[in-house]
Order: sequence, then structure tokens, then C-alpha cells
Amino acid sequence: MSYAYLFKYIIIGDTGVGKSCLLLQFTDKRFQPVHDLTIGVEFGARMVTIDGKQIKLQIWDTAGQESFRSITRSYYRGAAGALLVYDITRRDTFNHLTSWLEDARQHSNSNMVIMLIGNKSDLEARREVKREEGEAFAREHGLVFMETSAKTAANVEEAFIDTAKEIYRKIQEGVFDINNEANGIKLGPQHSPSSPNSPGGNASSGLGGSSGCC
Amino acid sequence: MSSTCSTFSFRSHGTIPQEFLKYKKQQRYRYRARKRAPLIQNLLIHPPTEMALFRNFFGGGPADPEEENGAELVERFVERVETCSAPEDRRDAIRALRSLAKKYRLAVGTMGMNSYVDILEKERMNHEILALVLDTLSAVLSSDDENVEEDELGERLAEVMLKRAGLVSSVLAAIEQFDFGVRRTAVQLLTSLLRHRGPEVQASVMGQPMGVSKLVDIVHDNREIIRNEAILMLCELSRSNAQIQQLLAYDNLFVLLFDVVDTEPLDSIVIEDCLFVTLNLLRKNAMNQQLFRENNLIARLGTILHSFLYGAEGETDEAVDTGEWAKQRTANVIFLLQIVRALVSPDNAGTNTHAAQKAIYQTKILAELCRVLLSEIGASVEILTESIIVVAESIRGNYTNQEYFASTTLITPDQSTRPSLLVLLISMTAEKQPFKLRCSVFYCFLSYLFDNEFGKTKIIETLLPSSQPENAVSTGALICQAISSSESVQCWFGCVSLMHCLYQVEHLCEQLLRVQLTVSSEGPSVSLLSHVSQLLTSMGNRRPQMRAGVLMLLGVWLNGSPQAVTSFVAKDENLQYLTTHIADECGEGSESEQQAIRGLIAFSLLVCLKSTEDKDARSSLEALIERRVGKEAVISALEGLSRTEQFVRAAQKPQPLAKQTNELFLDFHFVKLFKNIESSLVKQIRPTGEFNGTANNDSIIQSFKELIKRQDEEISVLKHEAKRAQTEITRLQQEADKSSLEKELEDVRAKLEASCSVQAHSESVSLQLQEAQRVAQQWYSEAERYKQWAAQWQSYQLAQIPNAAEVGVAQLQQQIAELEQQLSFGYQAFEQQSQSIVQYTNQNAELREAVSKLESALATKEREISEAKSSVAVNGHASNPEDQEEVTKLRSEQEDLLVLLAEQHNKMTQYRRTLKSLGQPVTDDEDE
Repeated sequence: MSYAYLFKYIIIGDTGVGKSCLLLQFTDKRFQPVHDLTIGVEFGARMVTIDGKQIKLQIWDTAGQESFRSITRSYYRGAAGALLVYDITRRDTFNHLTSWLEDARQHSNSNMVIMLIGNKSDLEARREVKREEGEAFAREHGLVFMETSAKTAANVEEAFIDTAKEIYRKIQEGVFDINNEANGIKLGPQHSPSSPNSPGGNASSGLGGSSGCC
Repeated sequence: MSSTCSTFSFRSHGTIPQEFLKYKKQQRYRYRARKRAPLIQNLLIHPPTEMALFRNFFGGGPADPEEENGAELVERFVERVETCSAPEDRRDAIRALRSLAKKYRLAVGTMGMNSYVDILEKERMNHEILALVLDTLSAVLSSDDENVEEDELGERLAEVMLKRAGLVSSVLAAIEQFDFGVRRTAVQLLTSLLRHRGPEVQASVMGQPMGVSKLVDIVHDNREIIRNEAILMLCELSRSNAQIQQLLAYDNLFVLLFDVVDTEPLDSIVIEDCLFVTLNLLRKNAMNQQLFRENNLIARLGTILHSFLYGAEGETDEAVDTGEWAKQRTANVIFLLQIVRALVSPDNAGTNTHAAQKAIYQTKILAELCRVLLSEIGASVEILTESIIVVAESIRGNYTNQEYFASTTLITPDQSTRPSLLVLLISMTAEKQPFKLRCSVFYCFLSYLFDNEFGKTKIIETLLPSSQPENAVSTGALICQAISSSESVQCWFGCVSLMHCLYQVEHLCEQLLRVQLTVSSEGPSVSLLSHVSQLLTSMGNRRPQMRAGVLMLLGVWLNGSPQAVTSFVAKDENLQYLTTHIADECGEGSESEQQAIRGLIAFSLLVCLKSTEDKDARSSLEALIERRVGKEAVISALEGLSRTEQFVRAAQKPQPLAKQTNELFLDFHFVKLFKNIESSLVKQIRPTGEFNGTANNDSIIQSFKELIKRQDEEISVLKHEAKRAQTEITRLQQEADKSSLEKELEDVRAKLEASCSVQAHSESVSLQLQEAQRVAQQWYSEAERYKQWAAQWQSYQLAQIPNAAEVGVAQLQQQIAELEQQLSFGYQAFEQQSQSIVQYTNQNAELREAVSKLESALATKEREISEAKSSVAVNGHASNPEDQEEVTKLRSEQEDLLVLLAEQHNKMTQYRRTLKSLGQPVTDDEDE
């Protein structure tokens, strides 16, 4: 499938906030209640349409555990967008946002679009972090904010697509250098030089006779 | 059945490197040496003075000093590095160490370590020294020996280096510097470290913030030497660590490497390095395979493959004779093929392999490879073999690809076409073809059949009377021809190929019964089944490989068709053969092979029993087995099969792995079938008994899995505990240290106390001593007194002696007399002196009287004088001319005196004034 642009995303945040489930919901449109711990990183991809253009999203889902933090850090640089996720039913995951954000700002390129996601919005009864708090945090740090539920799929599409829209807007404004792949953006094949030519039919005659010896 | 046939053609050239990788490795090191050469020359030429100095040290080159001398020399230079303050001197010393590094690896590596680490950390801006140190370290790590695998010294030195905290980050920091020498030597050092202690270095690179990304960045370096060094380094970095591999792929390394491949000539070894890294990133790494596909890189791989096979675009339209390719170009193609293979390997997760197979079809790579197989490229045997294996795995289990493959044809010189499957079988049956090639062809044919019922049916159909066109070679016929061949391995290939046609398709087992063969032109035709069973019985206990093939074919066939069993059992000699040879222990072949054969025979027997539907026939067969062999013997023979090395080897991979023809014995899929039905076969003759074969495989595997899981948990628990215990131990150790310290302290204290008490004791002793001395002195004085007394006593005793006393008394009397005499003299003198004193006193009184007389006389005289004076004054002048004269004289004198007095007075007033003016108080009477 051809695409105009390819965007690299990463999903970050504490362990157990639902990063892998968000990705699965977005790429496969399903929810897996029991999910193994992510080891290192996992990877998913989906095509979206923005402004009439086909855009391919390649999404790296990182492990939230502290022990994988140094590996996770290595993924910031090449990403155009990041989904910073916390769990609205666990206050500590919200409290750790500052440290995640610091990490991201320190290791990523300055134009990376960061979307703040408060996940598990379906568990209203167990809510520990108010919506307003998330909004305030996002405002304070210049992030886009959204509450999602990987279980009910509420706002999941929007979260990924709005991030893509924001990146697209920045491209239109010329903020991103699209020729440097280290920014996490790549031009699609129709922009780049010709696709592989299929080998021509220049096969010479068969060789069967040449070894009539068996 | 004639065998005029075409087959794969390849140009054989000289020797065929057996182990491509080995060859590649040697070449890699050779290549590295080549690239290093200019550097060494550089070092030799650049500092002429130092080198001259050196040659002096060595007494002119080749004369090697002893190792000890070397160590001393090294020590001296290290000392110079440590102590010299002039930068030039230090640089020269390091340069000297660098030139010694190869010869005295241990000494240079260990003695100078502190200085090196120091310089790496603190002198990052001094490029010359930094590069020299980095170069020294990597020189120390690499041995000149050909046997690079076992460089224990290098390994140990690398270990020593890595123990220095921060070394890896220092090296990474050096790599970030743009300076040519620093960056290049730093990359080389990292490569050497990775080569010796891969996992450790990988972990520390991952620990650095963006460590991997920065390393990928240097592939962008437009200085070719550095770029190539970076790729060599990535060859090591990308080994067997899935997380690093993923990170490298994330940083677009695939594209970067392909970009490099595009710029290099086809026979460049740099391409091989690039492809080697790519292969590392893809092999058994599901996520990277997915990413590779997602990024459309399979298509790009196709383009590269095409340009390699046919030369760069526009270069030539003719197919290239690969036999004349440079070895490096062949190696590059092999690597490209292995990359394709890594994507479609049966070892991968099924979804990945399937998606890759689809992409390989869509991007026409499959077509390209089929063309390699079927057209006159004249590929070398390595390329042909590898291509066939790639095709095999690309079509395996993918119906579209299998059909595509079957539809491709070879055009023979006489313009007839020959389907690819025929070409495969012809090559398989051609004894002249290299065994490696025949094996790959065989694998390709099995891959075509795998999960392809339609394909299997078509092949069986070619054997059936109705569909057999006259005078044409068919796939089925070729297989049957192979089975009848006297060449052992060919027969085996044929049997297993036919077995795969029947595998898991029961209706084909029935169909195959209809096949009739004409063995000789005159004799009557016989059924294929009786032909095969005759083949078996005729071999007796010889030719184990052929018998294994035939028995596997029969086993699968009989298992799939009760009808086949009926006709097989109908012939007495068949059962006769099976029941006799199941106990035969002196046939041809190794012990393990014979054991396998007995297992196969047991399998056939029990399959016959299982597939016999008629009750009577069944019980009579059972009785026959019991009578002739014994149930337990059959079961133990059956169970023995899974314990043979042949069984274990075959169970590993669908691809037959054999270097020599006789290593082919059992087939992967047969082994699978055996495992599946073994337990049910045993149960029919031992319904209640315990079963301890391999089978029940699933349950066994399940139980093993559970065991593993349990053990895993246990391990993690134990690990945890070990960790805790470790900390506990360190704590205890610390405590123990502390307590031992305390103990020591206690000891010291005790000693101190002891010495204190000793001191006190000694003090008291010294006191006692003093006392004793005093007493002794007393004693002495006493003794002295006694001595005096004794002396007195002696003198007294002496005095008691009468003579002696008289003498004494006389002496004393004489003394007294003398003294009395003196006393009388004294008295006399005293008398005389008192007389003279009286005399003098009288004289004194007389004199006093005279004095007073004289005094009174003087007073009268004075009175007389004053009277005279006044009379003179009253009498006026010159009563007496003499007096007159005298008076005048006196008057002038008086006047002079008055003048003097006046003058005196004036002076005094003047002084007073001066004093006053100086503020000195002047009393009133003084003022007068």
C-alpha cells in the first residue's frame, strides 16, 4: 500500500496503564483484558487518512517498567509523536508524568508532538485523577489532552489520529524537516525515486540439453 | 524408463568452498588486516625520530629482546606517560607503547591501563594522544593469529578493560568526536571489545542514553573508511541481542545499509558486511521482520538481488555466468539469499512467514529465483543450492506460491518445455549432481507437497493408467524410477517423496493401489505395492538406508489405507519378513541404524494390525505377532526407534540436514506421524499397560512445559532468594568485618591492658627496686658506720695497748707545752700593746689641748684684724701711707669685684628672663 507520509510514534507511560491495549485497539480493533508485560518494545502499524492523504503510522509500544527505561529512552529520538499515557484510576501513574515528560523532552527532537492520554475512562467508579487535573497538566506543559478507554475504544482513534493531524500541521508549516528520517517522518514511496523495476523477461533459453548426461 | 533428462546445470569451478561462513570469516579478517595496513605504515613513517630511538633500543630491528626486557621497556614508557609533564614526551611514550602493543600485549595492556583510562576520560580534546591510546587498546585486544576464535589473552584483556567503570562511555564519547583518527580508532576498539565480550558491551551500550542511535549515526559519515569500520562494528553489535537488533532497525539501519549496498560495486566486501548485519537483524527477530515488510524493504531486496544476478542496470542484458564471478560477488549473493530465507524460514512465527511469502511472490523475487533455477544463468553450485532452498521455503505451505512454482517451466534446447517439478526430480535422481544440490532439490520438492493436497493428487494422477500420456516423462514415473534405483540414497529420496504424496491424504493411499508397473518389457505388470514390498523382502538385512525409506513409505501407506493392508498382509512373505527381521541384530549398518530399522518394522506391523478391520483377520494377526515375536518385543522395538540418533536428527528441521548420503535415514514428517500415533499403536496390544515411549507426546510435552514453567518459577524465586541472600551475605560480611574489627579492637585493648598491668607491675617493681636501693644504701651507710665504729674500736683497742698510749700522752703533753708557750708570748704582746695605747692616748690629749689653745689665739687675732679694719675705715684715708697704698689696692680690687658682681647680676636677670620666656617657672625670691 502506498502512502504519502510515514510517521513514527511511541507510546510511553508507567507499567500497566494500558499502552499495549491502546495499540491493539487501534491496530486490530480489539481488546485483550489479560496482556503480558511488554518486554522491551513491540511494534504495530496502521494506515490513516488525513486531509485526503494516506498516512502510515508506525507505532512502537514501549515497556513501562523501570528496568526497561534505558531501552525506552533510545526510542525517543526517532519519533515524530508520542502518546504519554497514565491511568485515571491510579494517582501514582499521574504523579510520574513529570518524570516521563522530562525524559521525553531530553531525548527527543524538540518538535515531537506529545499527546497526554488518561486511559481507562470506562472505570469511572474507581477514578482517582480528575479530568480537570489532566487538562491542567496538559495546559501547563503544552500538550494535547484526551481521556480514552482501550476497552470501549472511546477516543482511541481520535488520540492517534489527532496526533497525526498535529504532526501533519507541523509539516505543512515547515517545522519538521521531512528529509531527515531521524525526525520520525518519512516520505512515501511515490515521492521517492522509482519503485523496484520488475526483472525483465530476458531469460535465455533453458539449459536442459546442456547436461544430458544423467 | 529412460532417463534422458535435463537437470540443473552449474559451472563447477575448481574447489567449492564447503563452509561458506568459515571462508567468509577468514576473508573478513584478511580484509581487516588489509584495511589496517595504511595505518601501520602511517605510524611507521610518521614519527621518524621515535622510531629511530626504538631501533636503537632493539639493536636494529629483527633481534627480538626477551619478554622480560620487553616488560621492562613497557614499564619505563608507562612511567614516562604517568610522570612526564611535557605533552610531547607523553605523546612519544604512548606512541612507543603503541608500537610495542602487538609484541607485548599483556604488558602494554595491563601496566598502562590506569593511564589509558585516565587519558580517555580527561584528555578528550587532545586528539592525537586520544587516538594513540585508543589504537593501543585495540591493538592489544587483537591477535595476529589466524585462530581468532580462541584468543584467550584478548578476552582477558577485554575483561580487564571493561571492569573500568566508564570505559565504554569514554569510547562512545570518543566515537562522537569528528576527528578522523579518534573516531576511527574508537570504532575499532569498540569492535574488538564487542568481539571478545559481546553481551557485556551490548548491555553497556544500551545503558548509555541514545548509545545505539549515535553508533548508527556514524554510518552516515561520508569518510568511507569510517563508514566501513562502523559497519564492521555493527556486525558485532547486532549479534544475538533482540533488543539491540530492534533498536538498530528502529534507527533505520536497514535503509542505511541498503543505501551503502547501492553505492558499492557488486564484488565489494562492504556489501557482504552490510548484508551480514541485515541478516543478524532479521534472523529469528519477529518484530524486525515485520518492520522490514512494513517498510517495503522486501521489494528493495528484490531490486538488489536482480542487480546482483544480472549486473547493474544498463550494464549488460545478457545473463551473467556466475561461475566467473568474483568470489566476493558469489558470497554477496549467498547473503542476499539468506536474508530472503530468514524472512520465510519455517522457524519463524507462522504469520510472519506467510506474510513474507506473499510479499516475495508479489515483489517477483520468487519469479527471479525460479529463473535462476531454470534458465541458463549457469549459476555456481553454491548459488544454485541456496536459491533452491530459498524457493523451497518461499513456497512451503503457501498454495499460491506452490502453484506458481509448479507452473514455471524450463525451455530445453529442442524448444520443448519442461515443468519445474520435473526438473527438480530429474536433478534429484541424477547421481552426478553434487549431493548438496540433490538434497536441496529434494527439500524443494517436499516443500511443494507440504500442505498441498492438490499438488499431491496431481502427482499421483500421473501414475494412474488413464492419465498417462505416451512417451512422456512424468513426475510419478520419475519417483518410481528413483525407488527402483540401485543407488541407495536415490531410492530413499524416491520413497520419501512418494510418502509425502500420501502423507495425510487417505484417498491418495487408495488411489495409489491402482498403480501398475511394468518392470521388464516382457514380464507381467505388478502393482506398485507388491513391487515395493518385494523390494523390501529382497533386501534381506542389507542396505539399511533403502530399507528405511521403503519401510517409511509402507508405514504411511498402510496407515492411510485398510485396503492396502489387506493386500499387503495377503502375501505371506511380507509378514514373514517383518516378523523375522524385527529381531534381527546382525544386519548391515550401524547399531543405531539397525535399531531404527527394527522400530520401523514394528511400526509397520502394528499399523497393519490397526488397519485390519475384519475382526477374525485381526485376532489371527495379533496371535501371529504374539506367537512369532511376542508383544513386549514388538513394543520395545517400537519404543527403541525414538531413542536412535537418526530419529533425533530428523525431528529437528523439515530441511534434511546431511553432509553425506548415508546420513539420510528418517524423515521429519514421518517422525511427526510416528509421535502422533505411537501411543495408539501400543494401546491396541497392551490396552492397560503403561506406556513409556515418546508418544503421548503432547501430554509429555505438556508435562515438560509445566515442569519448565515450575522450574522457571522456581528459578525466579531462587534467583530472588539468591539476590537476597547475596545482599544478606554482603551485609553479614560487612558486619563480620565490623565484628572482626571490633574483635581486633578488643584484642588490642586487652593487649593494652595487659601491657598496662605489666607496666604497673614494672613500676611497682622499680619502686621496690628503688626501695631496695634505698635500703641497700642504708645498709651501706650502716655498714660504713659499723666500719667507723670498727675503726674507732680498733683505735681504742690500739689505745688499750700501753705503749701506744704513753706515746700519745707524751705527744699531747708536748703539744700542750707548746701551746702554753705560745699563750705566754701572746700575753706579753698584749701587755706591750696596752702600754703603747696609754701612751698614745696621753699624746692625743696633749695635742687636743694645743689645738684649742691655738684656736683661741686665732680668734683673738681675727678680732684684732676686724678692729683694725674698722679703725682704718674710721680713720679715713691714709693714716698710713703703707696702709693707704694697701687700701687703694684693696679698693680697686673691691671695685673690680663690684663690677664683676654687677655683670653677674645682669647675666642672671638675663637668664631668668630667658627662662621665663621659655616658660620655666621662676620663683619670686629667685626673681629678686
